[in-house]
Amino acid sequence: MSSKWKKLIYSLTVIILLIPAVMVLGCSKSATTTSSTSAGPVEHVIKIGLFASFTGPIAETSEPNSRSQVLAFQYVTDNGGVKFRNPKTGKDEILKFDVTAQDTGFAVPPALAAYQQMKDSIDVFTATSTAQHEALAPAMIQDKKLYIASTWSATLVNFMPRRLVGGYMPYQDMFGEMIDYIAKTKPGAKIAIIAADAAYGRTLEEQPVKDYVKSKGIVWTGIEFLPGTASDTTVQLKRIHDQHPDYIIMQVATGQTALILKNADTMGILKDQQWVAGLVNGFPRDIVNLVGDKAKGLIGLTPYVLDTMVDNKAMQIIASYTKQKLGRDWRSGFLMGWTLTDMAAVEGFRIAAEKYGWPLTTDQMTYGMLNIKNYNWNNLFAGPVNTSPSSPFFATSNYLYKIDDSLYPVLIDTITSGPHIAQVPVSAKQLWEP
Amino acid sequence: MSLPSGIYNVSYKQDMAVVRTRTQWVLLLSLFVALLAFPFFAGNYWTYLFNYVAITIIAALGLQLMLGYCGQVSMAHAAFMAVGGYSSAIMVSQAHVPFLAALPLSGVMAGLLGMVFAVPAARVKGWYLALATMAGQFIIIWVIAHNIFKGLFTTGGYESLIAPSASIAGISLRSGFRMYFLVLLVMVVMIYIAKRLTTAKVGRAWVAIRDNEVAARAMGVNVFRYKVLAFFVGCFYAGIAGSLWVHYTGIASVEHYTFTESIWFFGIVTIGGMGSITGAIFGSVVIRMLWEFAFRFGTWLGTVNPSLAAAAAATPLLVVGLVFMLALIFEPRGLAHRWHMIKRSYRLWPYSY
Repeated sequence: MSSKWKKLIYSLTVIILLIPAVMVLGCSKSATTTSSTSAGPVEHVIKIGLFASFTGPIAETSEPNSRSQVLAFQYVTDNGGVKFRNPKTGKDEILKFDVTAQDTGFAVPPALAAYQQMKDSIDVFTATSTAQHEALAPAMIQDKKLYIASTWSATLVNFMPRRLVGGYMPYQDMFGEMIDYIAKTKPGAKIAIIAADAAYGRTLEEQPVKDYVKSKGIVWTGIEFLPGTASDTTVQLKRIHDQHPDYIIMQVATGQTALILKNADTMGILKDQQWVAGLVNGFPRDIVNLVGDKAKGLIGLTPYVLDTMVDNKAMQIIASYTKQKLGRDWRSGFLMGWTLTDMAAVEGFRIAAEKYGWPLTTDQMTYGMLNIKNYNWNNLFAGPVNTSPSSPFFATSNYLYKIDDSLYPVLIDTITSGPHIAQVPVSAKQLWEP
Repeated sequence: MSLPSGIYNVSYKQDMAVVRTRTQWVLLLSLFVALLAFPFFAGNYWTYLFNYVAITIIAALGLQLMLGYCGQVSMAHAAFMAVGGYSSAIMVSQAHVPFLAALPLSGVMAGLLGMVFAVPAARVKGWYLALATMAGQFIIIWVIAHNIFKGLFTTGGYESLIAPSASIAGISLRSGFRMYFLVLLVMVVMIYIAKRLTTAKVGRAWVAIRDNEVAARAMGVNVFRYKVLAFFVGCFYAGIAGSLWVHYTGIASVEHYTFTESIWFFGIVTIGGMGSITGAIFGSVVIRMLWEFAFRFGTWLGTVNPSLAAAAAATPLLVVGLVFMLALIFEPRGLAHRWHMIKRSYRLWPYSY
């Protein structure tokens, strides 16, 4: 046999060997949500896929948040699951949860890859970070997957008016709450805004925000957008300060809030107006840690629970469980993942199972999520919960805090209201309708 | 390029042929058969990865032509992908242009804009040109994100733009399976065109400019014209890739086209091998797959030992960084060069030396 034929046979052999190897690697899991029986009540397992940002630009906050999401479901399962009365059998049965987490590094292609790998075996997905939500939304709508989102972005409302069943209040609605508070406490006040113009988008869109401010009788003096990488804010502060506002609302992340306060102190304008931290991720304790007494008098928005409430029973449970599982102390990031998405979602699954039994379809699980009422897990998720198809967010309640002379955040008000500015456009409704 | 022993080119046509020997034809056809069969056996995940890598190959080929062949640095390749992607999404969804027409037009749009940023190339080169094109990255993304032309059409701004699925003759290509065949076809055509370009007059002019601009000008090469052409072609490739990506994912978002992504295209071409079509392919496959499996490895490590979760989270970056370092140390001329050496060794076997 000539050497040419030997080479040909060798090459074909390599190709033939490669094809089954690829086929084996490419075989996807076939199982969907499963049920199992034991000596006690029948147990059912809901499989959940989590797109985590353990790495990437937002890892600092999303890593504990994502770990917390895994642990929260694991905690429920470790403690015997959730009992429900199956209307089909008339018996008590148990829901348990199996979470598959995949790091996506806050990048779109890995998130899409993870989704493609998991979608055949998992019916419910959850994630942190806006970029991934946006990237995944069209595929999930097409595949009719349930998506429990923990995001602040109003953007997603445009994509997933019905599939987005969880999550936080949009940035613009948080801002609306602050405006309501100012209108109530100082009618006709002059405000200025510093918002973020970061990789994940702007925290405010100027025109709808301006319209809302004017509708409340507040005087608008200007808005400045900070790049996500800004290391100095003096130029923006100078322009804003020249308009003599009564309030400066900082609609930016915690680190930038601290940066603004430091710059204002250096410029000698710290005491000239009331500072307001407009985003819930501005946890008061974090800001105090960063800027010390420059935060004195700061008013801010925070969700449901303060990180100072260490004697809370729920806090103790989380601290003990995370220490046991991760060897790590809990912190604010854990609270967000644990409570705002997962524990409320567990309640949603229970409501759905009580009504429809087992197995659950995507629409049935969505029904459960949208019918959570005033959920409270060991006083951690204490704010009233109100969801409806037109307001597809778990949270419509936030606390206002003020940092007092001892640099201790104290509650000064509770705000409960529906969406202000974020609207579901007609195009989004059309997208969803079959 | 060396040929197997005993095979000689005896005509210009033979010298220019992309596929030259019967063995090459057989191997190529076998590869096509395997590629056509692939999505029938592979799951969603692998089909997605193929589509992603193939679209990357198309974009990387564009940068390879500009940088590897013509020596023109572009730090805005991801932005040109964005131009193609947004153009295509807008044409299909707002102007109701058929996808088959929007696909090449999106390439043309990106190419024309690329020509604008090619003008500085007449005056500056090297890192200075890199800085000039870097401005393009930021300007293009800023214009898209701020919806500057909303009187004419909307880009959706930061809130992104929903892109209809690609559709040909009434058949929707939303699924990864169907999109696979389109992406494969476009990739093969684009590779072929790139290969032909590099062996044609224009390719030789590009190489002459890359190697010595003054000498090229002395030989009668219109340096400015060919530089602009290189930008047009390179950005055309990026635009085509952008269009495919947008219609595949169903969304046009500026977050897909960051400056970091432009840097990665640099990495792809460097690791794959400058001045080689095969290099762009190797680089795309290796870098994309490396990231994908590094993420999975990091996640797996954190799951196996939760107390190491924080450290495991850093693993993907460490793995990718390490591979980059090793590749640059042991094969600075790129994977294509290594592949070339393997082929040569195989052809000479058992007389490798």
